[in-house]
Amino acid sequence: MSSVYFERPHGFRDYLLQEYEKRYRLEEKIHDVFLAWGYDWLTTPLLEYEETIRQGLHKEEEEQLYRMFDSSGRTLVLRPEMTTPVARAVTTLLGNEPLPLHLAYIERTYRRVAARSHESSEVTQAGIELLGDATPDADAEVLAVMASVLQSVNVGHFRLAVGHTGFVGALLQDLPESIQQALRLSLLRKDAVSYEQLLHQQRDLISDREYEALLAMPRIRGGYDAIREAREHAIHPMAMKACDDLEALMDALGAHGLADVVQFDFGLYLEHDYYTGILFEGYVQSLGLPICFGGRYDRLLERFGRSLPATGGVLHLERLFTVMDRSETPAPRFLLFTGIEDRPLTYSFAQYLRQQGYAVRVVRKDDELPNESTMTAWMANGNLNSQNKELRRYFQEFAAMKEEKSEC
Amino acid sequence: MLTIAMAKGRVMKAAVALMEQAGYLPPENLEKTRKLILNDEKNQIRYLLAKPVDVPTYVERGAADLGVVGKDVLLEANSDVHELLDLGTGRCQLSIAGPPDRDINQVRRVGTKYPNYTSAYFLRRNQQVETIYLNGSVELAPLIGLADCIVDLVETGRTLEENGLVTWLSLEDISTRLIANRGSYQLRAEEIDRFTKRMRAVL
Repeated sequence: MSSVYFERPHGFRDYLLQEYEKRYRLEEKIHDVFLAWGYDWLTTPLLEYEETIRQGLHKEEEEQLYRMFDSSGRTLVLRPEMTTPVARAVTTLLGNEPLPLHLAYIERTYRRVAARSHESSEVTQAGIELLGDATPDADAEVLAVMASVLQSVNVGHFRLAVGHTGFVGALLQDLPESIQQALRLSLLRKDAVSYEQLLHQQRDLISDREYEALLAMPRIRGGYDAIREAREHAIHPMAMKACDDLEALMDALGAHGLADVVQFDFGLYLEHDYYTGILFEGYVQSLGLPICFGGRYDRLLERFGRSLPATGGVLHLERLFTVMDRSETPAPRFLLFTGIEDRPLTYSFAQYLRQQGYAVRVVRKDDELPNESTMTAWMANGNLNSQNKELRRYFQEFAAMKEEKSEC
Repeated sequence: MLTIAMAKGRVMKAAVALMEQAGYLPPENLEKTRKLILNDEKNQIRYLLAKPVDVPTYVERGAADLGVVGKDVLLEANSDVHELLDLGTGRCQLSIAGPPDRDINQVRRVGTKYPNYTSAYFLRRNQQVETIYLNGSVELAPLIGLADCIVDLVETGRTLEENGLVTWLSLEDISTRLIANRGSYQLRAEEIDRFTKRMRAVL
């Protein structure tokens, strides 16, 4: 029988040694981009009350929560995402801060995944939330920050697909609730075939104009041309308003110089119910899953007692890690071998090298001479033996400095 | 160049005929060739010839931008891909079949090539069954007492009939589908939309 204690739980993984190092550098790069755009930071607890998380939960997510109990028997969950915890913190703790709020975080989130899924249960979300700004410029900024991160970590070709809940909502609103739900589910599952089959079954309930609009909607994609096409099918003022929003967004993105990385997709639909306006997903080459996503959620904060327009986006750090340019080599590390007699000299020379910005390891070695590599040195009888010119030069400098000191 | 993973076997002939009508002529006869990769330089299309169950995996993982495969395979794989088009070819039913003197409520064991789909189906029915995964000649299972019934594709029903089985219930309409990788669908939107449009025009 195999022992389970050797294994990781399904959906989790380890990051070791150089991989950890590279992952840490990636986090640093994202951190720097958010900081450079003037964002403030926050961190929130890994656990929240289930009631809190439920305010921003999609029905299918309920089964994905990791649940446990606190000492008084209330249900706690490992947070499945960050937007709701941020909304809670903002409404309860940041009431007096001037608006708009620009908030950033890099935090782990947890969702149970199906046993045969290759997705991970532990996802690090690197995200920003822009609260108290209802302009399309705020939405454009979120997209611009996402693009900034993707550019700074060299993921190569990427594209942000942008949709609008208002357009879908307007076209669906006159249909019976159950049909609306079924159509939304088809859009969410990206299943155009079942979407069209459902529409076809409802053909008698729907006017010609409505039918054509609903059929065309998921196929409308592109830039300004897509908005023009969508306007022809905007049979309701709410749909027209969505087109206005998207056009204003495109203008703002143009001002950022980002018009070419964005593509409208009128069939785009995301799982959270809290989205109220534009929403987006980002894709990079060689990854069949979104690398980032987000959108506008103007009604979520009022569930916590403070009505604030809000927009935001998150990057999936582990996915980003798999596609980023990882050719960057780690900083060089020196290895010093020392016998017992030479320890004081070796330790102070190691410290000197560390002050110069190098990583140094010291290994006690009393007997034989170790295999020499270009990064190693052997310290014996007060001297340094190494093939490495740089190390020899540093040792000369170090020795001269020591001599100077002892003279004074 | 767009890469299309084509499911070999049952669905390929009719799907290729449709693609030819749409102007996508493979450089060789896809059914006869022993090659696994074929390039059509003129239309900028690369064909991957794959076992049907592997097609959703190739597409989901991005080894192919598009895939042509039966809905039965998609139902079983439950992959995270775009389903773009029903090609309308390769039509048949995914059905429950068994001996004529019994019915679905008496079922305890089910033989099938579609274990995930079958388990999910009986779970929805609130019926506890044991799913037995079989790779071929599924009809044999009820004849030798391995299972009470089967969940399998039924085209004409002749195989069932010759083995003394009948269809109890049709579960799904199956046909050949065009699927797309989620990343490719956005990054190569222009190429994929053009391909889909041309295919839709000949349906």
